[in-house]
Amino acid sequence: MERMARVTTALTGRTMFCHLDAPANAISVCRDAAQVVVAGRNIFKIYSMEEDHFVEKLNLRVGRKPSLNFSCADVVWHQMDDNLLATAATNGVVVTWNLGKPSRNKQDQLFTEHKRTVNKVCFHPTEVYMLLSGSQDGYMKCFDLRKKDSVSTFSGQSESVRDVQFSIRDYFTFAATFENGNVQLWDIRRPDRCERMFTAHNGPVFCCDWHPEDRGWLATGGRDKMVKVWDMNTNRAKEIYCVQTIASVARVKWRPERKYHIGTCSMMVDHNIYVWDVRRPFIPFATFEEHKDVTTGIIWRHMHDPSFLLSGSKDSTLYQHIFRDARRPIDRANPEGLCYGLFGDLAFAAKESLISSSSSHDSNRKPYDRRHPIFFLRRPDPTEQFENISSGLSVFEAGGGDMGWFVATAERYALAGRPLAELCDHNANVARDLNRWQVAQTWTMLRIIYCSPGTVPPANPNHSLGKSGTSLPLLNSFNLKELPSGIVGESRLEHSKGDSRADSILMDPAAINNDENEETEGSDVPADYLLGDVEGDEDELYMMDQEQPHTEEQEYVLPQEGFPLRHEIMDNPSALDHLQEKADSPHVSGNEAETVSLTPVESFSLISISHALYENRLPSDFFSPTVRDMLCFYAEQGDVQMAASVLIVLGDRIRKEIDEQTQEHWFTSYIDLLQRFKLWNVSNQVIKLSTCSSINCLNQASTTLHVNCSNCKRPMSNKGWICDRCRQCASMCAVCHHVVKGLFVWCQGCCHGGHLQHIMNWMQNNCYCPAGCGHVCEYS
Amino acid sequence: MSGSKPDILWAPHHVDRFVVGDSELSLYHIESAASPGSELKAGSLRLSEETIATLLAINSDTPYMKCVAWYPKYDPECLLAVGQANGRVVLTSLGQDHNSKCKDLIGKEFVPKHARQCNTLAWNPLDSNWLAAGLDKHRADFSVLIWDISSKYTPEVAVPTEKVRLAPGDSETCSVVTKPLYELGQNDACLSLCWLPRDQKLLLAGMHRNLAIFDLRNTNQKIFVNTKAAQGVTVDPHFHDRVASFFEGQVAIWDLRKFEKPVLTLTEQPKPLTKVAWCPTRTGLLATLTRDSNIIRLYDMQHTPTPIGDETEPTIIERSVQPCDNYIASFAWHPTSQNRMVVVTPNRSMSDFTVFERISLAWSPTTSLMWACSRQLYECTEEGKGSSSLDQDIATKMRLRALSRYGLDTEQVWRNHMLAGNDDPQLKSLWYTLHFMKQYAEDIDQKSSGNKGSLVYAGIKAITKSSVGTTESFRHSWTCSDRQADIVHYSSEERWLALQLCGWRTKGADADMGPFLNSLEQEGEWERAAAIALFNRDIRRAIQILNKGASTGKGNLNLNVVAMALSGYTDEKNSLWREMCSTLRLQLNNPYLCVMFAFLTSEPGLYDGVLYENSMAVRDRVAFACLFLNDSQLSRYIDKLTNEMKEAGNLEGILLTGLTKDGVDLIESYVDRTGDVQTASYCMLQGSPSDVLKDERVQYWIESYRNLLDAWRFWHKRAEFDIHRSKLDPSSKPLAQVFVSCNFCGKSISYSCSSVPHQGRGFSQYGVSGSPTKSKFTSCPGCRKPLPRCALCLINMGNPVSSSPGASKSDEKVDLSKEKKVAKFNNWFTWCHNCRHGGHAGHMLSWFKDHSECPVSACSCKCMQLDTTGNLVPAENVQP
Repeated sequence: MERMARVTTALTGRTMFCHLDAPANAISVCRDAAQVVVAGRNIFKIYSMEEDHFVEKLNLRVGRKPSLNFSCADVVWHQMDDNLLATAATNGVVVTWNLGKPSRNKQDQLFTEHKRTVNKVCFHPTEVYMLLSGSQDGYMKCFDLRKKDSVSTFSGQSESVRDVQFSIRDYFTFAATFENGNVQLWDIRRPDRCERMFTAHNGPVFCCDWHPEDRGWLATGGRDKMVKVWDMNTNRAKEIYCVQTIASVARVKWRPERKYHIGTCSMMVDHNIYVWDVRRPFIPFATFEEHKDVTTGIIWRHMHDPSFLLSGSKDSTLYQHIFRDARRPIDRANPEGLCYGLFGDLAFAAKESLISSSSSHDSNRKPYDRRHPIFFLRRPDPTEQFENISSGLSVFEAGGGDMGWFVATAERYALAGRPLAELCDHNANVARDLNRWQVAQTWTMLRIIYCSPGTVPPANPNHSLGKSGTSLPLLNSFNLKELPSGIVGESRLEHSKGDSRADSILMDPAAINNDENEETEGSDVPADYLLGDVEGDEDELYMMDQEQPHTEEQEYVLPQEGFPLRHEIMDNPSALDHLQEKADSPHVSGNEAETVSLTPVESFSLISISHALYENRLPSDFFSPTVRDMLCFYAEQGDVQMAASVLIVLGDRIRKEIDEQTQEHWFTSYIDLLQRFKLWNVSNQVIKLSTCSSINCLNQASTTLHVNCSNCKRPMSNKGWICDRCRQCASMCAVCHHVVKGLFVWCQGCCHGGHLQHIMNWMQNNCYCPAGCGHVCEYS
Repeated sequence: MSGSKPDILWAPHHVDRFVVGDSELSLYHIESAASPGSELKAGSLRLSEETIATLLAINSDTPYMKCVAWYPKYDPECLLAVGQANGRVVLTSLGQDHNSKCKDLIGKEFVPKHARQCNTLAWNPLDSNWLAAGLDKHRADFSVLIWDISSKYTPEVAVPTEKVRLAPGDSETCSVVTKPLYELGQNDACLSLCWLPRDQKLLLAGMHRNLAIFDLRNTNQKIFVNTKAAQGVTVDPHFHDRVASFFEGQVAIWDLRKFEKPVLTLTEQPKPLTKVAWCPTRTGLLATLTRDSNIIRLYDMQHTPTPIGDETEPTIIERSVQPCDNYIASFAWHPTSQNRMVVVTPNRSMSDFTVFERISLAWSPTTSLMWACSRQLYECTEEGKGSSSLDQDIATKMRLRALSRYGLDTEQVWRNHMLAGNDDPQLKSLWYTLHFMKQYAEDIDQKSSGNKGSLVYAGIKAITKSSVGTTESFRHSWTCSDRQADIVHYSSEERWLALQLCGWRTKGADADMGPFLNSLEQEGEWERAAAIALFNRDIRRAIQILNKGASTGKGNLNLNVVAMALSGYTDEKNSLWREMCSTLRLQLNNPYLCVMFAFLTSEPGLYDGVLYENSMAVRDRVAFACLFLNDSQLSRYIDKLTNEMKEAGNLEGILLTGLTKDGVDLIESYVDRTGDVQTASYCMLQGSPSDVLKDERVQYWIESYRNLLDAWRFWHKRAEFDIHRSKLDPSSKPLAQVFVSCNFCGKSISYSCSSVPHQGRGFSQYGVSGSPTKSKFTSCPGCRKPLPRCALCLINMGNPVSSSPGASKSDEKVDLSKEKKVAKFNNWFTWCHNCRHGGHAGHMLSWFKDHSECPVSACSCKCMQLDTTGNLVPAENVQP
């Protein structure tokens, strides 16, 4: 083979472009890299490349009404003969053009043998008269330009041919790619059958290119967004590299003089041209981002110059790209990575330089942990042109952010199957056991809100006017109204006993109020303390008793001192005593000196108003907005568990208040979190109990197995363990030889199975299949 | 009640009272008899061996009785409604304890507009004030009248009073009700009535040629179905949608949910039926009575669920009881006492009896006996002794042997007789034979490529047959002796092999008997060792052995004496020694000592005294014959011995027959004699020339043994046996069971079923960096679409195959360490055969630990509870 002359004078130029009249379909350069031909549906021109601009040399599209023969799908410039071009027309015609013709119309020969669009034409790299075409009709034809008809026809077995390329090394061989994902290798002398065929891609293979350096490498690109490099030297094509792109690959072209570089452009969506290093398929080595529409043709300007790339595009431009102007994505790639671990740990990967520099002035950060491997360190390769980035990985352990509470809560929460009150109580207890007081409080509040209305109305007579409004109606839910007034001390004792009681934090001040009130029955000073505590604001009194403390905390509605006080009561009985003393004092004073600011009527009116609020005159969804806000608050705080759990427990009571999307979002987040902790049972329970249809059907999609009878090989009906066609009992347990009517466990390797328990027991001590088929079930 | 036919009724709430009514009503009290033979009190009737009835009261106030119904509530106690021939319904009572409420009611009459016969009465079971009466047809009137017994006499109805006067007997009538609550079924006849327990306002009536359900909430509406079977409608008290009715001799069973046609009709009786009643204490038991019959037929309807649909007819078991010899007029189930009924004959003799449940009997594989009768389950246990005979039983032996892994030792085959308990000389011989056969077959296979290996398993009979013509005879002198040589013995390659199989020759060593004799000495078989030494012409060694035995053994001086006698051996024909030995040897009780002298004293070539010494081991006799008989003699002897062995089923004969057809015959007679299919199965598997295994007798033994193991619940033992069997006999590998098919391509996703598992590539592409085309094991091996997902973790299922797909053949290479597990059990496919939802085995297990319903939303299948056998544990795991 005659070697092309080396570039005698180095090509010079800059990134430049010119507007074409119409979108280009393909481009090709002449041998000396001075001219380029652009072909498209409505364009067929030759430009010459000057130092800094393109000059239109020739318009080959002549005639008043250009025939379809000018509508080119592909164009190729002969690499031996500067006057010879070939185009593939969309109407199935292969045309050759002779630039040496004196007439305006340079059309030379016309081959109308293909039935459908010709996708590709290709000249033999060394043979002057040999032209190959591949068409949509599934045939490849080899033409001898000295003859009128094709010399031989190769059938792709009715699959459309997308690309044909002569091998550079082997004189007689060419590769063809097909729409069904196959690549075929043909010997030009044997048109009857292909030499070799293999499936390269999932979906059409749009393009292929032989490695110019005679390595026997073939690059293919397909609709499956992959570029693959095949080693064809062995008798079985071996995939050696694979580059995944973001869009289907329209063209691949090996970069001259660079062993591992390959240029690609995509067929849709992505307008950029990428140059990849196949050894590092993750980030393009270089990109050219000039085009505004899909790039349709790329070609390296000269066979031995790696820095000039020509491209034509649907945006009707022809570009010359210079490599030094290319963008290097690696420079902009962010080598830092940050990720939260399941248990609150934080992993941070960054350039080592970054870590070392920052750790010097950040004493909190742990030094780079050498125990972890450096994932990104590559062995330096002298031929590689990009910089090596060695990264470090630091792991930050969560300080106190142990997620144990999440797992424990998820496992212990009761979400259904019991009355609402019990569920709330249970969950409150769970939260309290885990020292999550706020959550426990919320559950208790929910119980009060949603379960009390049933108990309040019958209790109303007790709080009628005649009894001087002694107790807050809220207490009904605590069943304190049954406490006789004489055993106040006892009830206090119970409060101080601590947490095991189902009562909540809130109860204590209320109960104390109660005690206080009852003791001072008959005296006219009951509300003194009460007012002092809540600063005489009825609304706030109400809020304090009824609202979720979190919401209030957020909105700063309540005076701040209310909270530490209450928590102290909860945590520390001594604080309770203190409070009781305080509570007692007005009582004493009340008895001794009836100098109180409020009259009984006033005090009563206060109580009666708050009382009235609790009565079932309230619509049942009175608190719903509040509860909704509370759930949103929890969700925003990151405790989606609470939001989802409450949503399930309350069900229809609250569901209408929250829009479907939010609910779905909560559920998916919670389920996702549960699945990360491998709490499959809990997550599935949430799925089952959720009221969102989209969540609910999560475990319905493709969780049904279709079972075939092994006797008649036909699918079994949807139910039952017997094949209703051949009446052969298909599901005997391999261990006990009884029919399995319920859960059947099955070995994928040998098709034997049986009762879940039986097979499990067997497999604990044995390794062979119990059916005696000799299969080593767990090992192969 | 026509007077001739008495009817009988149990009191609904007083279990010891019933009423018999024909022309008058008689109330009886039933009690258990003090003793069966004792005298009866005056006025009491004997109903059965245990019960007697006392007449408490008679009510003959109401003439023309046609039907009676007992008030369904507890109080008032003895309130009855009587339907009369003129259509009137009268409330009456029996007994004394009338409370005020009762007093008001008694004597109340409900009179229809037009007089005609009252056919049936039915109290509403819930609203007991309602009484439905079914009357004959009248063209201007209704036939179903529902009366409210609490309604008062309505004086404004003046017209009916005239009609009241028509009945002159009721002069003192103070309460006559003429206005029914509801009137239904105009211009029709009502033959039978019953209230439906589904709703208190639904009434089912058997009209003339149809069955109708009246809904009293909307009296315009009725559901009806045309049928002749309209008599005696009655609701199954245990299954409220099931109704029985009859016509002539045929009973129809209806399901009210599918009221278009009867669910089933019972076989027609030749005579017309008179009564049909569901048993109130047991589900699905229907009693029927025909006219002029002394038997009551019982139909036991049981639903058995089937795998395909629920649309199956119930299975019916029909039987009959004969409570007395006379014809039966009527019967009544006792309301609470189980399966008890009282029958009354036309002449008012009664009998009380209990229908016995069918008894089902089952014998467990561990020889305990159980039977079930009604609600009891009885277990029969054997008292005290008898265990010894049970221990002797072959079944018990086989059980124990199965537990001790008998037959599974394929490396040291002879050890199997140790596993079997080491107490049966035949088994010992058998397993040694098989051990030698295996050993030499392997040897020969290694040495030469000829087909002698199979010859080894064909037994000595075949071996000696093949040796004809190649035998050389030798004359040898006694070694280590100065005596003359005149003993002829024969040798050939085949005879050599036969001797090896008999154990007389070890491999390698030429004629050196040393190791073998030493091993015999160690086992204390002095006599045998001496005899074998003698047969190998080593008389000195024999004497040494005997001496040693005498000194180290239990001081058996006899051996010394024998040694002394041996040392005096002389060749002379008519010597005194010979004479003495041939007479005295018969007194020796050890066969080997005996044959030693027989050998020494016999004529050359005539060794009948040795060869037919039956108490000598077959092995030694055969070896002896191989040494000293010429070809024709040998083959005759072997044939004779083989036939003997086959006749007797003696396992020692396997040495001769090998595992050939002859061997199968031999084992057959052994199995016939002992029933030991276990040994037969293992023995036949051992040799594994496949033609023997194809013998249907062998297959039958193997199947029998497997069934036996299954019956004992030795499932793991059976599985071990299956594995063992498939190793030795690859043709016995079981077929695949069900297989899961891909949701997309419909092909099996199993690696074994699919004939073209992978499209050539797949695994070849492992290791290509970043190649996403590598075959994931969670995708279908055929079309690479994702496999079904686990219902719990929502991840696609699938198990990887080992990286070397061809390795399944050479199972020795499989590394069975825990780390090498590719497809852990927890990741296996699991699904429910009922709802077909599936998941990973481990996830499903953990889900069903605290849930009973299927994990998939909106599926209420109780997957885990569908199987009862799944919870059974294999019996061998239970036993210590």
